[in-house]
Amino acid sequence: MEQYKDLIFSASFFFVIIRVCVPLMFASMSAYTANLSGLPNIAVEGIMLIAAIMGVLGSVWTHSAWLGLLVAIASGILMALILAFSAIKLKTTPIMGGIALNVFASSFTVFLLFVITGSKGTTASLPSKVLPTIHIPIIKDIPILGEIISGHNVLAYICMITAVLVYILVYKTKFGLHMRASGLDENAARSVGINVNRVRFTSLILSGILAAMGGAYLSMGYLSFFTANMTASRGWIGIAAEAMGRGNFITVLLTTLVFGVFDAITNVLSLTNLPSELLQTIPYLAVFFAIIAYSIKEYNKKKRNNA
Amino acid sequence: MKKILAVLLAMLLVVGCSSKPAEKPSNTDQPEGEKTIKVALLLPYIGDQSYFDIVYAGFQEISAMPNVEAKLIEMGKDNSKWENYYLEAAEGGYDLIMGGNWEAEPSLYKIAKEFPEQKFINFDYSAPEDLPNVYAMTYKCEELGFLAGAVAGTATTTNKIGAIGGMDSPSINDFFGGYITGAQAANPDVKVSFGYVGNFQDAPKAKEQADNMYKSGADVIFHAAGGAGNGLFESASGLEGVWAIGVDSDQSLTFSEKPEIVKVILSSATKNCDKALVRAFNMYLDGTLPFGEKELLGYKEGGVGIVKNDAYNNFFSDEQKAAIEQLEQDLIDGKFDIPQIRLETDNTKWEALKASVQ
Repeated sequence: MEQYKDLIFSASFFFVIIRVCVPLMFASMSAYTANLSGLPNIAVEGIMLIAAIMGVLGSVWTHSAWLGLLVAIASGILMALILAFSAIKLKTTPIMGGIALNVFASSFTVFLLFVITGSKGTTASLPSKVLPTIHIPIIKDIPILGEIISGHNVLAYICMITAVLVYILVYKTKFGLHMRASGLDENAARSVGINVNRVRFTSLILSGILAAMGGAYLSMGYLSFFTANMTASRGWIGIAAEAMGRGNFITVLLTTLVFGVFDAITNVLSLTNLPSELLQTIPYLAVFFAIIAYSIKEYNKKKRNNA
Repeated sequence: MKKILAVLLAMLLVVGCSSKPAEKPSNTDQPEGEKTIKVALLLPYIGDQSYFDIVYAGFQEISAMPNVEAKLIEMGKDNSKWENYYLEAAEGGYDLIMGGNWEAEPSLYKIAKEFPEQKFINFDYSAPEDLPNVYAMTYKCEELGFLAGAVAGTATTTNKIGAIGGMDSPSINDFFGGYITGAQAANPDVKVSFGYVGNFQDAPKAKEQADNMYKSGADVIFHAAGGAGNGLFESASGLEGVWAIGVDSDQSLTFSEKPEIVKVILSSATKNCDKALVRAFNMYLDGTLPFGEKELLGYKEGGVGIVKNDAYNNFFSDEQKAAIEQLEQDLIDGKFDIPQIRLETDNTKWEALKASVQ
């Protein structure tokens, strides 16, 4: 136990937390933007997976990591549009559409993998590119802070910037108001002249882009290749975090952060002799207790206001 | 739009249905008068660059032998059809049918019961039945782990090594029981830390666990975590002076386009289904293959092995290589008592073993 203490109480541990949180943050932002407009996107996992492999393949075809990222994003938009089209135009239950896309993605990625590489495991045999890591000037020379914040993959910084942008979009712009209105009451929104369908299409495209960046981060930053089913439920965790936040963006992000922090702690604790089955439940339990604490606080606040 | 879609779908169907043409019997010019031996190998598919391809490599070796007519039958992934393939093969007049593994062996055994005259080889059994016309074999994972442990124990300069598994289960800890024994044999002071990903897919999580192990002082890590294990190689390639050991097949081959990863794969401990298949076939030719029996193949029988590629040869000194070879010889001579964790009914033996290297 002693020997692993340094792994947690160090600057590099906070660096690891950021690295672990990035794909989760993208996933929860993706689930958030879709659900806010009233069209839940449970295909986050599938979109991430498709984008992860398309990013790698795109970078092989174009010899450029950035164009690879664009291919990943395009595939994410396409997936999201399929969901939006089937839900809005064809009146499919979005949940069923999402399940279909998830099932499709987990098999189709392995199929693509096999057709292109002849392997069902990884794209490691392809000369794929990786998005650059950024060492921020000045900040990187500050002790501790530099160690934590500098040296991440470029998508980690894009993730932070996107979080701010999504916040502004949702709470400070007219379109954000329309998104929230469409989600709260579609008929009321229509009655005041909001084109609900267009708002939802746009939100889904945004959701697709966010999920795709999360997927591309996994295969072009976190790792330098795609492996079958590498998302390993990160999309679902994003959806769960979104549900916990109940429409409040900050709560969504905090829930994701709690999960990411405890996931990183679990990765350290797994080196100790504690039973691994128990350890693997820690991040989920942490979120569970965090949400109970949050609910109690909210409940008390309401009670005080009513009194 | 609809028409285009229909045409596209139709094309997909055509592509999906047309499978590869059956392999021609490879040997057509056998001298007259000698009896040709007809063998068939039934696999779901080939081209996985690992398990099935290794089996098929052995089969290709067999098909190159004189007086052998060999046919590969690809059954497809739909396991409800496998029984029919075995039935057709049994009616196809083959002298010997090879197939099996945990997934397909129920079909093999069912047909083997119906055709008691037909001879079968199960190349990797998990739940075998006692039938007089089936020879079944499987591989000693604990010896595979031992070889990995011997290499890791010899290579470490920090006396700390690690292992990452997919699940904390007896079948995975079987590898690690051997790993501990092998590492201790090479280096009595060695400490081993263990991590479990929780599944066989989450490569990013395996990378984090490997990072933590390397940072806490381990310099060689072995994995038995399937696809998730690729995260271990990624982690090692980002650090200095650390090594990773692959499993099942020579894993450095799958990273052919990533030289920075190939150079950290010190070795791979392999399951040699190809050699085992050839061995069984040669015994069949000699008439010594014990049908009705099952065999566990270890290092002695060539069932498991260790890859000595460039990274291995460049890293180890001649003395170290000799020391590892000595351990291999001792393994063949049966000098080690390697626990078989998969056969244990409770965890006490495994926990005690783990505690001895903490």
